[in-house]
Formats: sequence, C-alpha cells, structure tokens
Amino acid sequence: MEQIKIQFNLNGNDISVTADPNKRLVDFLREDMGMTSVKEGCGEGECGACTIIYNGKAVTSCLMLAGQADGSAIVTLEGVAENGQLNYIQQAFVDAGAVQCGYCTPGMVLSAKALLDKKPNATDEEIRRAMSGNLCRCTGYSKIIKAVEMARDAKGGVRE
Amino acid sequence: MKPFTYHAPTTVDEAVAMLEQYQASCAVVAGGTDVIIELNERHKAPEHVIAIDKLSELRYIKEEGGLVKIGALTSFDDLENDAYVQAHLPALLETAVHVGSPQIRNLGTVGGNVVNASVAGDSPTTFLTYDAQVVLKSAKGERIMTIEDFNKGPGNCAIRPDELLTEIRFPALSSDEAVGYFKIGKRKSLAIVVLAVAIYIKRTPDNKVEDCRVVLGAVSKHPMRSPEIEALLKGRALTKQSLDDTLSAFTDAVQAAIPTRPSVVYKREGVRGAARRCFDQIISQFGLA
Repeated sequence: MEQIKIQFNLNGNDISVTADPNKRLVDFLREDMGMTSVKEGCGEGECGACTIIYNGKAVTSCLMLAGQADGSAIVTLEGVAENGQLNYIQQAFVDAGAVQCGYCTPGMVLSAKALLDKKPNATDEEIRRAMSGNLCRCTGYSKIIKAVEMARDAKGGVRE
Repeated sequence: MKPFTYHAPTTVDEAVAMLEQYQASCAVVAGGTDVIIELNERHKAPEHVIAIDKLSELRYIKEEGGLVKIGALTSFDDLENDAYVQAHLPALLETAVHVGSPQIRNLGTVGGNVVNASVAGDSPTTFLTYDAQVVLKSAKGERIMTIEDFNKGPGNCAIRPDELLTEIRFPALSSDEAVGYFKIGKRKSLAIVVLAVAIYIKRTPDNKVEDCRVVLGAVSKHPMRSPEIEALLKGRALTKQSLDDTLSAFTDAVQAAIPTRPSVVYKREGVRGAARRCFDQIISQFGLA
C-alpha cells in the first residue's frame, strides 16, 4: 500500500510525515503523532471523546481519515496549555470540579475552546449547545457546563 | 480498515476523472461521518478512496435565476450560519440545527446526507419538500434529476459509480410560499430521525392552500409524499383550526405506510404533533398567527 504524505500544523508546529492512508485521524494522531489525549470512545461520532479542533472547528477525529489532516491546522489537548501553565478553560475545569474519570475531558475542553475562541461572550444556551456533542458518564454535566461558564466569565465575557 | 490507495483531488474535473477510472472499486469521502464508520468496520473495502473534502468549489449557497443552489460539500454548520438560509429558508435551517452534534455538523455535508440515503436521514425529507433537483457530474457530462427520482433508499440512490453529486437546487420561495419542518428524535443532540414531517404550502391571495407538498420522513424506504393528505389540504383556509382538521389523515398515512412495524404505534401518534408544529410554522411565516 502506498503511503501518503501529510503536511499539517499540529498544536502550532509545522509537521511533515508519511503515513498509512487506511488509518482514521484519531489513530494517526495517537499512534503516529503520540497525541494520546485524543481518546476513542464509541468510534461512531456519538460520544465526542475524540474531539479535536480542525481548522478552527470541533470535529470527531474517529470520523476522519489520516489523509484529511493534510493542509490543515489541528489542535489537541496537548496544544492547549500556555507556557506550561493550564489555560483558562483547563483551570476552570479544575476549579469547578468538572473532572471525574477524565476520559471525556480532553474532548470537552476542546469543544469549549472551539466555542470560546470564536465567541468569548457565548451565552449559556450557546455553551450548552456547543457541549451537546460530548458525552460524560460520570459527572451529570452540571459541573462541566459550569466550568465552561466560569471560563467565559474569567476571560471577561458577560454573564447573561 | 483494509488497505486502499488514497486520492485527494482538488478540482471537480480531477475528481470525476478518478471516478471514471475507478468506478465501483472506489469509495467517495465527503464529510466522512457515515463512510468512515463503514470503512473502519470493513463493511466497505474499496481499492481506492477519493476524499473530496478539499473541493472548495462545491461549498456554496446562492440564489441564481430563481433557484436556490447549494453545493454538495456545504456542511450543516455552513447552512446553519448562512445569512440567506437564516432569512429565507427557515425549514432548512430547522433541519440543519438538529443534525447530529456540533462536531457532526462541522463535518457532515448535504451531498453526503442525500447520497447516503439513510432511512433516518435528516435533509432528504426537507429537500423533497422544497421540490429539489440534484446535479450529477461525470466525465461524460451532467445529469439533473428530481430528488424524488433520485431517492431509492435505504442506502440507495440513482447515482452511477462514475458520477459525483455536485449540487442540490430548488426554486426560490416567494412570500406566498412557506415550508415547515419538524423532527422527532430520542433526544435533542446526536439523535437520528425517528420521524420527520415537512410541509410546503403555496397560498392564494385570500389565504387558502393553493398548492402543497406533504412529506413524511423515516416511515418508508425513503422520504415519501402523501397525495392523500395533499388532496385534503388543497383549498383549505390557512387557519390553525382548518389545517389541524387534517391531522387524523397523517395518522392514517403512517398506519398505511408501516402497518406491521412495531414503531407504528408510536409514530402514528407522534406524526400529528409533528404535523401541527409544521402548520404553526407555516402560519407564522405567512404572518397569519
């Protein structure tokens, strides 16, 4: 099988690699790139654990092929911390106690980041909607939603 | 996933040339939200995969010559955020916002949704209600057919292996035309269509139903029109009472379509609520509420 060349930006770094084309993006990121924050849950786009930010938008990487990374900019949780410090969304998740087993957390943080990057003043309803593609079987969601609201407020967004 | 050769064409011409060459031995990936699962679970094992997600020329929503034209690679998120859709196509907007999840709407395309022809698909029901046509391109030329002829379902449509769906188009609506859409799913997010109703009504100057199309989704092999309900609606006054008087016909239509399915018990009841919401939307769009 012919390998494909993939040039893309991963967490701010330009990367050029070759990879097997018959790999999903989630597997390419985990196995080839070592981005193990990208979790596979359901493998069908239902749970959001494999969420990454792809060209500025939250997507489920289990529904994409490795080759689709070519020419794109991808952010995984590994690229969210700033200067070795938790970024404001991660900090809000800690402060709100929004993490239990943690398996869904990378996807949750990235869905929140995709929203707040674009809409720092997102309404409570917009937050709920943006987080609706990520499942959590531990927390009951209240603290996760609260964490995203706290993150928004910490950045100077306006509470409704 | 079985090994395959990966192709990422950057123009439609390049893509149809590949389809011409590889025909049935290839799979086309647009948004990928359905196909990647099939590849991963080895339900499909093509020798070639043609990823068309870089064909940005197929990503548009425009009105031209009295037609609304939507490029096949337009995502549901594109639809949701498009000013024209927001202003003029409330039923299409309503369809788009209830597809999958934010992540799925960012990936999934209208073309993929139509070609995939799932019984529980979202947009085919709405497009049939808008009386849409599909544009199919191949190395041999272009075919345009009605979406009614195109839908074969389940998982089947009248596309040839050498063809690419490039556009979905339908007549732009005047202020005397309105479309309502309501989907019943198990929950708000990440729910396939359990039942959908979409209704188009054209009114007379004195606010009666001049023409209409009534489409039921997820009660047949593909979205289907109900000539019985349409006949019943024609000539009716556009009042809530007069339209709601037809609701029992929706129950009859569902009962007749899927008499032996276990879900008929639920769907024949739910369909009235969904139809009523469509009527409410239409009355409100006409400013008659």
